[in-house]
Amino acid sequence: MMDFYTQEKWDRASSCFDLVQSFGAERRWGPAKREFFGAMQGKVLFVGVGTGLDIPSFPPDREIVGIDISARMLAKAQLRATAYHGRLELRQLDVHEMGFAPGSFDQVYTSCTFCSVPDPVRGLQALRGVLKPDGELRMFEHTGSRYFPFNLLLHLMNPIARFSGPELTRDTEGNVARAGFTIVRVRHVYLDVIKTIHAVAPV
Amino acid sequence: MVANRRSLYHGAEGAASTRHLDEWTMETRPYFIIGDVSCSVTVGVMSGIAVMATVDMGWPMPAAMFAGMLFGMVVAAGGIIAFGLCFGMMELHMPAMITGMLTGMVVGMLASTRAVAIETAAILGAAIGATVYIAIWVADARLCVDRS
Repeated sequence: MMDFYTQEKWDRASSCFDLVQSFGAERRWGPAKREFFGAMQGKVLFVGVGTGLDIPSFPPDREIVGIDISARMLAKAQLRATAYHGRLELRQLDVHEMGFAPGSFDQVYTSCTFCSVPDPVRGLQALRGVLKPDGELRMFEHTGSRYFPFNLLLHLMNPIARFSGPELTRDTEGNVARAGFTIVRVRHVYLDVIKTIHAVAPV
Repeated sequence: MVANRRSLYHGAEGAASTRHLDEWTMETRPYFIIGDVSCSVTVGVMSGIAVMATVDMGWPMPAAMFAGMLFGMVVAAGGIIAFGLCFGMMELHMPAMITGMLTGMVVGMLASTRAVAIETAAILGAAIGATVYIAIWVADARLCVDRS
């Protein structure tokens, strides 16, 4: 069953999401994201399309299924999806219950998604289920910090952030491991808070 | 290769096998450096002035410092939203929040023991903002590691 609380939260956020994210953050992360998405190959599931801000960073001529829990976000993403040179299908789905057949995808990509998934380990297990054996999970996420001053601040700000959207204190690396993936590589983008995680599903 | 920022996209994936510092790479684009510094310094100045205007010698020092810290956090939140639209909130919120809290505590402490001029509060705030930015800059460089 769809998580209506989360859906409603992101439907609300869709009205100002582009205003907040599209200029500063995307301009800062744009080159890094183009490099990150450059490794897309095979059949790709992209979780958390949002308003489609990442779509211009996708390499052309790929076969991608993009999902998001928010219909309003997807409606805004549609224009960017239409402009994509390749096969990009958008669907409104909850990551916990996607309904894809096991082993449907070669790769799963997420971009600032698992700060918001209510049950991250269950969500990641669901992703493991739709990946082919040895399939790749590639994440661009912000997480909690292992360092005291940063972690304290993130915890102080988390209640406000959680209300409007994401959690700031997630242990996403730990969650990936708990969901049964093998972590191949973690690279820090900003402090140890923004990072890319490359993991593989078990064979 | 990405020309402007970050070790994280250098080299062939999976080539390394141990935790290592990729290289000393920080934000090098002037647009973002100017934005990051401006945000920290502005938050420091505004926090200093706000706390100086609120706290006076009648306040007990612990209460003045605590109130200053809270004022600083509120000012920082405003700065993060205002500057974040142009420069990205994730990279701004850490230095801005630390600057706001520290400036609020320092100016609150001073204002509870003596009269503080607006120029002094502003200069203190600016100095704290710049120092915090540099400290975070160094921390970021040290934490830009590749754990393959």
